[in-house]
Amino acid sequence: MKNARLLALMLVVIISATGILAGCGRNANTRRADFSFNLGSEPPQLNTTLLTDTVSMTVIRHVMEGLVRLDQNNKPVPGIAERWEISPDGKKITFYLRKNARWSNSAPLNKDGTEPAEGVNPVTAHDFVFAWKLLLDPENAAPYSYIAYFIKGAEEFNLGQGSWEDVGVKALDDYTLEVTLDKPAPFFVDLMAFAVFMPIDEEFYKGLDYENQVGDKYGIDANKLIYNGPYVIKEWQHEDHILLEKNEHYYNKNELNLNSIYMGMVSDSNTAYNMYANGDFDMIGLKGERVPQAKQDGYKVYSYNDGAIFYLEFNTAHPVLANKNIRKAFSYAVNRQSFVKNVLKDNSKPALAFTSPEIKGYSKPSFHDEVGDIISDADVSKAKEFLKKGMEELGITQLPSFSILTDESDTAKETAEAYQAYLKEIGVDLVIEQMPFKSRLERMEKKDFAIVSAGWGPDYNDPLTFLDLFTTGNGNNHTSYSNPDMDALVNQVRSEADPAKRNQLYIQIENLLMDDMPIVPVYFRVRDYTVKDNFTGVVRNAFQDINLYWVKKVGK
Amino acid sequence: MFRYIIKRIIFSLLTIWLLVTLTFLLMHLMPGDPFISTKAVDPAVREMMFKKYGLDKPLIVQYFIYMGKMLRGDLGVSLHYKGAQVVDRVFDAFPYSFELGLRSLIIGIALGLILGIVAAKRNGKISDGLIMGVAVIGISVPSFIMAALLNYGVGLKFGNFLKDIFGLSRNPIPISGWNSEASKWLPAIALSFGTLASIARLMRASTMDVLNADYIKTAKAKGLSEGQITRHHMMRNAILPIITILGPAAASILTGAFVVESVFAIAGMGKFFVLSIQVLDYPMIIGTTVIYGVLLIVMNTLVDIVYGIVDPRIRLERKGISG
Repeated sequence: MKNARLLALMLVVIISATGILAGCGRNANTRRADFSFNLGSEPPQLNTTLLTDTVSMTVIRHVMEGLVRLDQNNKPVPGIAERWEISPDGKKITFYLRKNARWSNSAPLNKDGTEPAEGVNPVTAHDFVFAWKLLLDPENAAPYSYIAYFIKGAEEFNLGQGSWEDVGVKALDDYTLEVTLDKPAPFFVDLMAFAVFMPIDEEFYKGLDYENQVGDKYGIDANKLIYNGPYVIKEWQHEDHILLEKNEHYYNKNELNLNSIYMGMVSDSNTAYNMYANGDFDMIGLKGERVPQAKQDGYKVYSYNDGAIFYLEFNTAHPVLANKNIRKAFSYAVNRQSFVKNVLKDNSKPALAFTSPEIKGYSKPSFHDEVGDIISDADVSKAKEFLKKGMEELGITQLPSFSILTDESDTAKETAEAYQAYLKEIGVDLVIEQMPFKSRLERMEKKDFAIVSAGWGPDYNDPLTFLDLFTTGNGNNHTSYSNPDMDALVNQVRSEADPAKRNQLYIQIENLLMDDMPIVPVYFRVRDYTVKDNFTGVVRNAFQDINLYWVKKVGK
Repeated sequence: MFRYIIKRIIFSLLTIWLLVTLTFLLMHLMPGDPFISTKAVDPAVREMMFKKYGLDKPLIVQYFIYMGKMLRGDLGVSLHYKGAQVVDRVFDAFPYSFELGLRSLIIGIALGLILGIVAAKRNGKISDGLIMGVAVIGISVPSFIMAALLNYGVGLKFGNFLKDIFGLSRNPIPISGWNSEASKWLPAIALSFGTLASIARLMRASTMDVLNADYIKTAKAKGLSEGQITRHHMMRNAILPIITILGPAAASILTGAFVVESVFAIAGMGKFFVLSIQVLDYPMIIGTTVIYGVLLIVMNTLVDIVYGIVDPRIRLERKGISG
């Protein structure tokens, strides 16, 4: 072979260029941690005042601690606050902070594990005041600021109509924080575990050259954060992984069994699955067809209800959809059981009331058990009755076709097609209009639709997070639905301190909503995941999407 | 030659300006706004968000502010990764995409050339058929299928097979990430396949043309060795058509990298393209577009210049036209 030399030369070029000689196959670094799981994507931001998404909240849950923590059953337990007192009218809450909570930029511990005499940075009531002021400061433009509106004067300050001095948050001393609420909110203590209420060290925040870029470098990199929670971020390689290490300054560090946690950001679910099979991950989420496959491959599949409900919203300003009986007809025609089984193909639950079953009840564990299933599923004859009655009331003999807005994905299309089929059974025509997510939101906001497929997830563990949605003027009420009875009931519940009476009012609101039917509840979303058998104690639920605080390794 | 290069560069700058301006206009034409989300915020708060990120100003003012900043190398602050500089995030990701692209280009070009020449010389024999068969598969199978096949078949299945056979503690073939030499091979191969196949086909065709040319016969008659003929007479002529497709090949590798990055969980730039448009992160959309656009334009200009060097006819021809 005459040109063998040329070939050999080229091969050498390729080989050296791609550097096989240097490669001795170091392992992927997922295994450097005690526990490794797929977070799924990069957290958009870890500035606790600005975040809105579950991915960021999952990271924060492991590295920051608020006044309270949630236990395995979402019950608030002492966190940075050792104890708290609530005034009889429910409007004043005093938090007493522990004196041994530290920021992670404190001086390293002595060899014997004791604290050095100098360089200790304690977590104080002022750190909470600073963070909450930032959350509500109009200049900071925090998207989740509204969740702090339960605090007296907060809404006015956030909307630029009041001053910070009038907001009901005061540090009485370094370790006492007094919060005055606008109206009683029995769930306010639970809310203190929510990410946006985490403390921020003022000195650290202001030391980050924050004049330079629209206010905030805080939280954009691992070294632009300090931590007061169980773990600290050791490494944050954007779009690739976050590596957590136990926080040596955490007051409760001896309770933690995992020394390190690896959070991968693998967006492709096939790849994540292969990595799980390969031993790179100890836990991954499962979607759609991955669920049966995982079972077939011998993995244990776990499920949890993530608190979200998906439903159809009607524009009640539409001449035909303004009629309650027509709306009810649509609702009774939907076959939720079949929808969950054939379209979603997962463990989601048919929704026959609005409030998520994950919301705690007054006399029963779940509020859903207080009201039960209010409407019935796939009741075509009843649907036809309602339809007939509605058309008589409107004085029409023929129905127009209705457009239904949905997202661009294939799943969204299948979903809309299923609704189309269910309504066809009672002689109603739906026209599917697919569009990008943001466009759908814009159309909803402008109330420029007839029917739209939408969803809602809870902000806090109380029925109010679902039941105040359909009041007049609520920014999330896209339906144009307005009922003075509904508004009055919600106002009444807001100023009621007695939990038993609140519960009664919630039951009334839920029933009124299901009678007026501005929305058609369809399903409560359930998420599936799998964890390697040698770990126990993973907590996943509607209020703690992932919490590894109690995870323990069993066996090898 | 010098004038030719200067002209190419001026044209490139114009193209980049046009690209930025069009992207700027088009992205603001997209419906929805960056701050709309499933949970409504008070209009007053939304207004503050627009103000904070400079989106409250008239579009034309925003355009000039943006262009001014861009000339200073500032691509603005992301609206999705709030607070993060677009430049920082993109340059975090760019090296991964660039190295992946480069590796697959090298593999694709080198193997493509070799296979093309071998096939042409073995015209009609089994090895020719085999190579062209592989080339057809390479052209018709999209890189995401190739990536998924390699990830699952070679990475997971074959890797674990090796592990069992040799009694290793874990799979020797990494199936994700971009952190060790071993982890870089599968993605680069998956991405190189299309280029490899089209170059092999083209090289085979152009080699066959050249093989029948009179000057090759002359060279043979002069008694030159086959190696000398291949190197000095055949390669230089046969390679010309290949250079023309290098620009587009580089482009397709860069754009195709998105799926391969996703399948092998590589923290490259691919995901920014999709995500930034979904969430309407204006600075990120325009930042990624500009950086890729500049890269492609630079590549194409380089190809033009290289072509001019390799083939004097082109240079002379253009000189003739331009006077």
